[in-house]
Amino acid sequence: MEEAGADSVRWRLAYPDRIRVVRLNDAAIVFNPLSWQTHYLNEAAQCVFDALTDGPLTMGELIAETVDAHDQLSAKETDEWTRTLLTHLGDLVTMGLVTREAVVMA
Amino acid sequence: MNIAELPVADVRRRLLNEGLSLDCGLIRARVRSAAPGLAEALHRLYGAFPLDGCTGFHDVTATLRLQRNWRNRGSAEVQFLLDGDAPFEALPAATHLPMLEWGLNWCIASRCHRHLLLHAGVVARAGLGVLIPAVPGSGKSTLTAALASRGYRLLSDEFGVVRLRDHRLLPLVRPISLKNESIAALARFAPEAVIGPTFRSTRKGDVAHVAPTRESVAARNEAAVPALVLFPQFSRGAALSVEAVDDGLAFVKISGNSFNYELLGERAFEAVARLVQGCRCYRITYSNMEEVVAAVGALLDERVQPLAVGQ
Repeated sequence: MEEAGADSVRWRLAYPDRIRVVRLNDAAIVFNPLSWQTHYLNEAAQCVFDALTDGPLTMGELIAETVDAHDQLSAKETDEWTRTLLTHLGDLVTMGLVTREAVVMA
Repeated sequence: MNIAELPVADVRRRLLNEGLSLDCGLIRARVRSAAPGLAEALHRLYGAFPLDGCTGFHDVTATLRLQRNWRNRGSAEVQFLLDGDAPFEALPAATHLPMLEWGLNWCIASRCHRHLLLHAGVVARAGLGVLIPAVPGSGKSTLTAALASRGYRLLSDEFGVVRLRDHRLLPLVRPISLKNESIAALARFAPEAVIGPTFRSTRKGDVAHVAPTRESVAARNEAAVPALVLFPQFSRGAALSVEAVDDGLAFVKISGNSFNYELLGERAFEAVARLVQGCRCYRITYSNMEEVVAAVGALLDERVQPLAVGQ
């Protein structure tokens, strides 16, 4: 499992131009063109998936994308939210919808 | 001329020789057999189907071969042969028609991949299709038969065929297969329905078939626009219940109900998405056929009214 809060990796959608998504009420149904499998994303997984549609994000950037700017998270809350995001990212990686890449330090 | 206009003896002669051609819309099957009683059953249940010379292309050529099982005191059996191959074990000769129908189902489910195939009943009213996907034992066929006996056009009892090009529902008109208590229930509900012989103690229990109406057979090449998706559940003594099904869940249920969703990949994904977006989806629990037919009529009326306003 990724170290909580680490920004040494970036997460990105695996095939942003080819993945098919259909929105149905609160759910998103996603078709992976490589595996030919269809996945049902609940609201939370969808939140992570959507955050990555504009490009790769580090964990810090992902937290900033998925938490309302007015919400000041405590360190404990940040840890909890990070673990939640990592769980969803892990599921999305398993589905082949998301990949991780190392951040190259300047 | 249709099959019912032919004397049963001529149907039997065709089955023994060139074969009897069954034009079901999506597929055309040629059937050959010497099984006693099959000619009478086909004459009754496929009576409204057109009679043709059994020439030209047939999607399926099925033979029910009569044979003896010497391991079982020489009992008479029928073996389903598809283009000469025997994909199943033989069954007692008296179950000739269920064997034929199950065999044809298998052929369609394993071969017909130009379209999305769902395990579903389908009926239509005024061109609007009602798709009834379900697992076995849910009351799908009973509901399909009830609707077909109340003026709905039967498209299929077994296959929801979604054309990938335009996502319309294609007919595959064949007799409706009823099991056990639903046979007598349908006979009470629709005394005018043409029901074939009851085959006792088959692998699926007692089985009987309901003939499609003449109108359904005549329209066997007319597609329908999907309007309603009903997930049925027959429950003895239950009060009628109609609940809207969330679109996401409907997608999961429909795709999981398909024979060839994974084979068709993205085209199937697109078809199911369009189906869910274009239809209203309900879970419908019933025990009384009059009530459920009225409820389906009301749901379909709701779909028609917006169309009328928009015109």
